[in-house]
Amino acid sequence: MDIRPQAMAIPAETDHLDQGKYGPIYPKTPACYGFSILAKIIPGREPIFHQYAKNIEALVKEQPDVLAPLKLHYLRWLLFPINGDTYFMYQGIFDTEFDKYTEDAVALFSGTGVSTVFENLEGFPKDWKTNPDGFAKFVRAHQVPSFLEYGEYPFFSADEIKKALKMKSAVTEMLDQLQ
Amino acid sequence: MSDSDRTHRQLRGEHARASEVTVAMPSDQTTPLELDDIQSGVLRPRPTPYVATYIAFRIDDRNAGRDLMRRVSEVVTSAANPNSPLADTWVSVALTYQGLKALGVPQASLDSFSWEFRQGMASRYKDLCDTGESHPDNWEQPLGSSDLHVVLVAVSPDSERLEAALDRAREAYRAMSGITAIWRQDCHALPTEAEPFGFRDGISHPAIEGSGIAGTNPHEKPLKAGEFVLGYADEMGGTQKTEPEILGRNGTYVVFRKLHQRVAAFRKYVKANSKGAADEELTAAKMMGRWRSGAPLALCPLHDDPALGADATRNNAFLYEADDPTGLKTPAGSHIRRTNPRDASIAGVARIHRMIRRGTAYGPLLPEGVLDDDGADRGLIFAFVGAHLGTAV
Repeated sequence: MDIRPQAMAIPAETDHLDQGKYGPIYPKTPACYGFSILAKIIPGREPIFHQYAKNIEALVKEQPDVLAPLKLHYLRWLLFPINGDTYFMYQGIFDTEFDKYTEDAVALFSGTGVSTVFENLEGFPKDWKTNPDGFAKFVRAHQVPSFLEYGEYPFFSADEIKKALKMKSAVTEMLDQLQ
Repeated sequence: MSDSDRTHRQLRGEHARASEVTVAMPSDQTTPLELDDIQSGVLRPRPTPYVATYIAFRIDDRNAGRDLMRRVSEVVTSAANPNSPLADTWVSVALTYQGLKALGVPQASLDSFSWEFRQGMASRYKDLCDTGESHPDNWEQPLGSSDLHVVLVAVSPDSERLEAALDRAREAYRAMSGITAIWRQDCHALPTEAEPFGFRDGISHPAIEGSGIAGTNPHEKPLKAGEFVLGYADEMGGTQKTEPEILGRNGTYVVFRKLHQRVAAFRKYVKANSKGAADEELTAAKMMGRWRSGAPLALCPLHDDPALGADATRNNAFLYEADDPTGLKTPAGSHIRRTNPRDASIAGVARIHRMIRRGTAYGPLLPEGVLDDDGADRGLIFAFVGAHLGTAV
């Protein structure tokens, strides 16, 4: 099997893309679907972000499959300064189309009982739990599209990777038993 | 099967289904539905057997269109009074986005309808995978066109009562100028009481809070009414509203598709992929998730059980996750598991993707055993009812 790394340049203009409910539908890239958002936090809220990190760590430890329906690869949360203000960056890489699963993400997050850390961003809709449209519009308004994405093992889904790892483990065990 | 024609429309007052999820949903309070302001066809399962007629209209004159809606409102059957002798016979009416425009609904109100409804099904063909032979260019006209404004539907257990219902509806539009009937489709249950591929249908129906209408899966927690009717809280605690609210309240969205079924091709495919007659039945059942009798593979995976198939108290009483998470009995790609994954682990949250699905067959039966296409047009007129078009389709 040939696993051939690929890179994709992503044009800045979006006119050629199909328009979805929340704007242009970005294509799947060698790094799968995903989005990055960049937003200013409400001043002074930094400690809440760090507490949130501990909450998520504990939640996933307790319920390892809590985010499974979102078909994620990786999530990254960052805080960094620009001109004395603190900005937040969130990057998600996943296997589902953003437009089709926004409501599911909102339902899932509001169902965990963990409030989203997005509530500490300027302009985030307070009624996000019952207003997935408002959630999606905020995300889209703060989305910064990639101009280049790269995949060392391009286009593979998290489910395929997990299956391959399980298969490797099973084959290893079988070989051990044959000895 | 090749999807062919369809149209979106908003349906004021007419009838959907779901699964368990570990997500705690807000508010367990039940709001009774205003059944007398909801069309019967939205909430009540269609009769079996049935006959049905769909008539589409173009509004050429705004005032005539408004007059039509006024008259039709007097013959439309509400979801109240299920015990009335007429309860099985409905007349329902639906409007497309183009129809609302033709009636002169102000732009601010038009803008308050869902994005998918405003786009129309034909313009979303790529997202819906309506490509190749199923491309909108190949849809039967006027389905999917901007000429289609209003659809009247009459459904009844028999022709006599259907004719009576149609007579009442005809009173509403006969001799009206400024309104043109542009399309008609007659449907009828086949003598086999199955859809054209030969499967019992009309089995699964969701339980809806506050409707007083029982769902068909006793293991399913009733869904919030707002998943199916505008103006009520949905599974996420939000409420779909229009501007003004009264315009959409107690209405819903309906996706209407005319699905051509290639019965001979289906039979040939099943035969080519099976070893003998019994195996053909298993192959067909694995594609559907049910035996032709309606008996679900989830409850009888190895052999048909016609008594189970015919028993409405048992034929939809099952979930997937505990018993069959990987789909060894009911394949994950089978029709019934894809359309309603129940409590199975999937991408997303199934309870916010539920819809009422209702099919009525058209065209002649292809006699049993015939493997060559006779050229006749046959299939299903399919309606998907729900308050969230985007999550349903």
